[in-house]
Amino acid sequence: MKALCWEGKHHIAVKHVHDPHILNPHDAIIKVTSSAICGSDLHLYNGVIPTMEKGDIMGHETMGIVVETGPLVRDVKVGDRIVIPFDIGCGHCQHCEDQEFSACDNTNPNFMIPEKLYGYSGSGLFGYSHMYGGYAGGQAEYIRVPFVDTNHLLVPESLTDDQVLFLSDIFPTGYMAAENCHIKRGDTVAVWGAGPVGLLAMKSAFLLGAGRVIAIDHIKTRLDKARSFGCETINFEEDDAITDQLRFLTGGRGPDSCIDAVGLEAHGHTVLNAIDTVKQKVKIGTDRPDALRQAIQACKKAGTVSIPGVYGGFLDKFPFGAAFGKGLTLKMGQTHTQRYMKPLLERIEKGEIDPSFVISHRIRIDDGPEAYKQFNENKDDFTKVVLKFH
Amino acid sequence: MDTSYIPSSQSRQTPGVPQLDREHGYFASATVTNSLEDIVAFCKDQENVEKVLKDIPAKVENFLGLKLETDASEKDGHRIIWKNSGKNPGKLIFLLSPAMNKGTVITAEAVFDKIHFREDGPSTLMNIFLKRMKQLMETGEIATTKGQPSGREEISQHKH
Ligand SMILES: NC(=O)c1ccc[n+]([C@@H]2O[C@H](COP(=O)([O-])OP(=O)(O)OC[C@H]3O[C@@H](n4cnc5c(N)ncnc54)[C@H](O)[C@@H]3O)[C@@H](O)[C@H]2O)c1
Ligand SMILES: [Zn+2]
Ligand SMILES: [Zn+2]
Repeated sequence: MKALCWEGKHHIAVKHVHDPHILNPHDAIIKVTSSAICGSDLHLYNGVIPTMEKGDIMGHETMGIVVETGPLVRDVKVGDRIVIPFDIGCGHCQHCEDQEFSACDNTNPNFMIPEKLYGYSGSGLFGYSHMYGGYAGGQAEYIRVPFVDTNHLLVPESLTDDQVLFLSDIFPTGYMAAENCHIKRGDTVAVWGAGPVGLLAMKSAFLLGAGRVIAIDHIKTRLDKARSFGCETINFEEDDAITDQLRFLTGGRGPDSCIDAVGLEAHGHTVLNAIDTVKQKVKIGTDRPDALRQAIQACKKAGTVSIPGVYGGFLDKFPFGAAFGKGLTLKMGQTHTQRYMKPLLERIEKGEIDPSFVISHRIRIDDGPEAYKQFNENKDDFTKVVLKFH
Repeated sequence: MDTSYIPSSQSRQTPGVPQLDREHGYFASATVTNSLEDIVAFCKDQENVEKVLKDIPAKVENFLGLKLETDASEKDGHRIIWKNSGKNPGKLIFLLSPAMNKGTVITAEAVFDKIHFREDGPSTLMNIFLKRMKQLMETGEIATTKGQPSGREEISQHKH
């Protein structure tokens, strides 16, 4: 089959590889129909997430048709059309029982690596480095899904791939980010990053009762998208005093909650970000947390900062004093996707939201390498790329 | 529970967490959702030890050839021993106790005459061993990616 493989920093290639087969009794093989490229994939593309190996198959936002099931699979059969969550749950450990699927105890074969780095290991993830299990991803014609009984959402024929594909990651991620804010009716929520995750967090904030949502980015087309459904916007390139702006816009109090949908590769021309950028380039720093610094600084007293943006290592000049001094609540982590798939599918079916509004490009796998380059460098035109197969 | 195993100096132990004499072995502990009876049955099945050791990502000379002791799950069944009587005699002891809220705590100890490991320390290896045992116990399989496709083994277009 054809697959998009990581060949090194800024190098994705289409390769012919073996088809996957069943390795464990709860596995299934899926013939992929649609698979998206995520902002998280750009962190791999840019080489800032460790433990990638040349030849790793990319992709964690995947859906398709079941073509084979292992002997112990119960809830899925050949021919089913399913969306696959990006985090792999076993369905049996305490964390899975508690619906904390991305904290699953049992699905990361390389649990020793995060145990050394983080103390304990989270779940395995598709296509997201060996630290997270080294599972082959879904930017390929076929994918093997472990514990498919836990890791699938059956989707009705009445909905298109584009409408349901993002239940694999970014819609649950945006939604969980907003839910973590404990929004009260009429609250003001500020969101750093108007990429697909940020945009879906903004929509979700409105769904959960926010009165105002303020989007912060520097990409005009993305800010336009945010404005199109009722957000106010701040372009950080035109306005550098973001904290002052937000204070002014919120009657001197600050937003009730702040969402960092940027993660470890923040852009911007602040002094601290310039230092972070140099440190990351010469590998004496791991993360560029400038959006997070701003979110903490801007948030109201006793407010919440919710962090769906991915971080990997040690954060420099992290304003912990501000977080403590204002009594902030910090919420973060990989999304427990399985927890949200069904209820969010219902919202799509009812017409409350159609997440396909984020898609800018639909391409074939052969155009994948160029799409990575464009999505990384040309965010004005490329908001979300979906690979179409079969 | 088999209290004779617990040194008297540590009699005021935390409930649910057996305190072992750390002088003479290597330890790891794990909490599993399985019931005590489940675990006893699991440990009585020699096939399970083979599965835990298969492709274990560390050298395990000490553990190879482990066999279930005939009088395993002695007394009330809360202590189980896997023994190696080959060229490197020793045993793994599993102590089972109900977890504070739910499930079972397994405390594992490795006792060998001569411990030699080619990679990692013995405690790391015990942890790896127990984590894999937990995977198999809770889910019926051990997570793997061995045999999956990758661009490292590119095949020619024509084979497809
Ligand atoms: N927690 C999870 O489970 C999870 C799941 C999916 C994605 N993510 C993460 O969410 C983040 C966003 O993903 P995406 O797909 O939307 O990525 P993206 O790269 O398309 O979007 C990021 C946006 O942030 C903007 N940005 C950069 N620096 C900024 C700054 N200083 N202030 C404000 N905006 C800034 C960029 O211009 C861009 O529009 C990534 O870090 C991704 O890894 C996390
Ligand atoms: Zn993603
Ligand atoms: Zn689990």
